[in-house]
Amino acid sequence: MSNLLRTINNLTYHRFDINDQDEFKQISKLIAIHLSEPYSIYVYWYFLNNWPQYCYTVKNDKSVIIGVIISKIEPHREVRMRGYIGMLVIDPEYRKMGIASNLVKLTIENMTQDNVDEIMLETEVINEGALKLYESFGFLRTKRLYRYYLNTHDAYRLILPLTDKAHTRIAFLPQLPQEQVT
Amino acid sequence: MGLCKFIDFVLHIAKNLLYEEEDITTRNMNLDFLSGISPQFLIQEINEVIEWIIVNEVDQANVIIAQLKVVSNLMKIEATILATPIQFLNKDDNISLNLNFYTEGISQVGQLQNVEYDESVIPEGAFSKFIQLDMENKNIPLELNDVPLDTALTYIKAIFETVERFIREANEINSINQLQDYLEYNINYPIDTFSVFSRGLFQLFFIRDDKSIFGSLEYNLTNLSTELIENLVGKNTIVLNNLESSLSQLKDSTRNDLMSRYVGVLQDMEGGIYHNLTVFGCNPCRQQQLISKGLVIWDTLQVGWESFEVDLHQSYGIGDEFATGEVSISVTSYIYYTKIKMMMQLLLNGFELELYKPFEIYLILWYGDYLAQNLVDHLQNRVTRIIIGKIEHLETVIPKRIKKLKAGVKKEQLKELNKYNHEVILPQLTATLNYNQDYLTKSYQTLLTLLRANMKYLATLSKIGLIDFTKGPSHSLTSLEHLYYLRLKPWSSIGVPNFPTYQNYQQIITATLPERDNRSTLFRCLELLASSKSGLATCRKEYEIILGYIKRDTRNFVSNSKVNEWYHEFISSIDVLEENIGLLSKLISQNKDDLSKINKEYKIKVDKGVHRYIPNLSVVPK
Ligand SMILES: CC(C)(COP(=O)(O)OP(=O)(O)OC[C@H]1O[C@@H](n2cnc3c(N)ncnc32)[C@H](O)[C@@H]1OP(=O)(O)O)[C@@H](O)C(=O)NCCC(=O)NCCS
Repeated sequence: MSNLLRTINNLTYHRFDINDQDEFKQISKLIAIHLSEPYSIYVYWYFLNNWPQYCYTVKNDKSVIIGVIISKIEPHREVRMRGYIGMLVIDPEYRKMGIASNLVKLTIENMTQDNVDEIMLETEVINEGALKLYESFGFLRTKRLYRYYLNTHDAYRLILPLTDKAHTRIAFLPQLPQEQVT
Repeated sequence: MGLCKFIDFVLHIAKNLLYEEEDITTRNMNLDFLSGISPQFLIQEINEVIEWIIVNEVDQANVIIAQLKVVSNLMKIEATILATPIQFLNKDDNISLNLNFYTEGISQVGQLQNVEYDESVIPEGAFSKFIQLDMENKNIPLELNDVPLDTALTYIKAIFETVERFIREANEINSINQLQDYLEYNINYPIDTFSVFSRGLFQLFFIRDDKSIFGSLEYNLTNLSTELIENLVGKNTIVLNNLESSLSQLKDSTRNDLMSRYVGVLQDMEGGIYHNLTVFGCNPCRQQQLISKGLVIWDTLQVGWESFEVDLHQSYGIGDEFATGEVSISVTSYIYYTKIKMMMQLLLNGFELELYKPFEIYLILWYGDYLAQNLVDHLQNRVTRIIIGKIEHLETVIPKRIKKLKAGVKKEQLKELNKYNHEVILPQLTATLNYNQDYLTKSYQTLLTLLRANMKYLATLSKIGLIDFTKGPSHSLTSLEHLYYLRLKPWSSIGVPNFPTYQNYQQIITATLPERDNRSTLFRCLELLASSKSGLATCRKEYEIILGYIKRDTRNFVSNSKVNEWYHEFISSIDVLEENIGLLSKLISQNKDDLSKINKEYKIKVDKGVHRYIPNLSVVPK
């Protein structure tokens, strides 16, 4: 088992293996079934292909993926580095066991090492589970987005600030060095 | 065909007046929704069809006719919305508009709501996924949304009602204060009851392509801007009225330089005002984003105008003065007022959108208190002094000048002006002064008292350990300092009023922690609650006075103003707070020997309050 990061409660946490077709299929399935928003396959292919190092999976003892988190890091308006958590899904049978928390922590730790200024995500206003999870880590609701999701619910934009840049308005920040922007 | 045409109009609105995230799907799969045909043509067609139906005694004619008429009336919205002659700020007799088709539409929809349909005979798949694939369409074919008929009819009825109301009320606007009242309380405040179509339509109706207001021939952005400014700081603002003639004594090159600077700052001002006018019809989430963006715009405006007004006075002695003779920077003062008002709105609207976690509530109220205090000070001091300075100028400076002049044309001209000033301008200045003092300042002062009373209640909750504002999220991976600055980020770039630091805030919340022993805590809690109660009693009295003022004053509020609801909601929030305080007082007296017992059995429940600015934190059993 390559890419193994850690084992917690008999479940193994891995970095996504871009060369493993089966992993991609399993992830697609998990997302398609359990996320309310219909994502086109291109959306997560885009994430996985460009930032495979920010996708983590959790497997059970039969090596079946039962949880996944997909993220990316990009400069935001060329002034700060922004981590973005795109998707997080846990198989319903494995929920409320702290798995999502572990995946989010893993992601934040790695992003912190890569010096991101903030981590951002969106979630539906009615998704109590996700809100509770992220807010317990310090994410703040910075914006409410009107009917953001196709099923007509509003969403919150959540941000976890990690450096001073995270709370300085864009107009007052210097440009990032060129090598970080490109 | 009529429906197609209406869809065409809806698409036009969605594409041109709404933002992409709003809930109208604008992809049209390359279908032509009769964009080349005028609604009038189709309305005429429908009329002919109706005649044909009547002549031929068609089965269920009344239902079909009602349906056709609803469609026809929907098209009439497009056909008439820009042509409706609104009497905006026209103080002559109000000419009432013919808006009958809206009321007809309402009753026709009502008629259709009473009809039972046999939905089993409606052909299925009339717009199948197959067709979606076949047409020019980049998106994944979707099942069509199944909107129940009654929902659709209710929605259409609401369109007729809302649009008829905002047109009719716009036609009644006779003063700038009424315009502001209309925009703030009859458009903005109930905006979440507007359908997305009505919101977009309002934008189209309010500011036209040529930047005229409600299509008025007299009012465009430029003169409306002057009116808005002088509505706060009074008429006769020197920099806004014929500045060029005030500059006539100067050297050509100096004058030209000043004039080009002037044109620049005026354009910036119009830009800022335009930005703010587009906020009213937006959905509440978008409004916040626009206000946040607006803060940067208005802060920049303030810097530009302040330097312009100060330079003009310092170098050339031109500009309004206080009665004491110092420069009073009228326009800058309007900008500052507007800016603080926006800062407060952005902050306090966050409750309604449920942006704040319980641990942040004290921070928000504290900052709100700070802003409200600044606003009240500004209105009571600078703005009042500006107007008094203008009055002084007209009452004493000009008459003195007349006395000094020798008889002649110049003296006569000045006498004429003096007469006009006394008959027209002075009464206007006095009216502005009175409105500012009796309504505007009072309203903010009372809000300030209310925020403070609420903070004292929250501080008591903290003293007995029901909440802790010094602690953030349970597993926080960042510092409270970062969270503080992130929360206040939209305000962080504002120079004046001073942006409070985290250290300032620390001192404030530390003071809400329990005292060193039970007795001191008890004592402090009783003190806080008593003070909160007395603050609330003052607020209640003041809000009654404000409501009385609104009732008596017909010139500054539109006749069906929802401003009444706004203040009644404040009063209801006071009721709720008083109830909460009553309960808490009881718990405290029951547990006065050991207050720590309370938080073992009770916890705090946070809900939206009655008034959007006053969240409800109640104490409930665990
Ligand atoms: C949201 C989701 C990822 C949570 O996964 P999970 O593994 O059950 O979460 P965890 O067990 O790590 O729980 C973390 C915290 O959130 C809370 N939580 C999780 N689900 C919750 C729910 N449905 N209701 C209330 N709280 C919930 C837990 O109580 C826990 O808090 P605690 O540590 O104080 O007890 C999972 O429910 C899911 O996959 N949902 C569908 C997809 C989704 O909504 N993704 C998020 C959108 S980006």
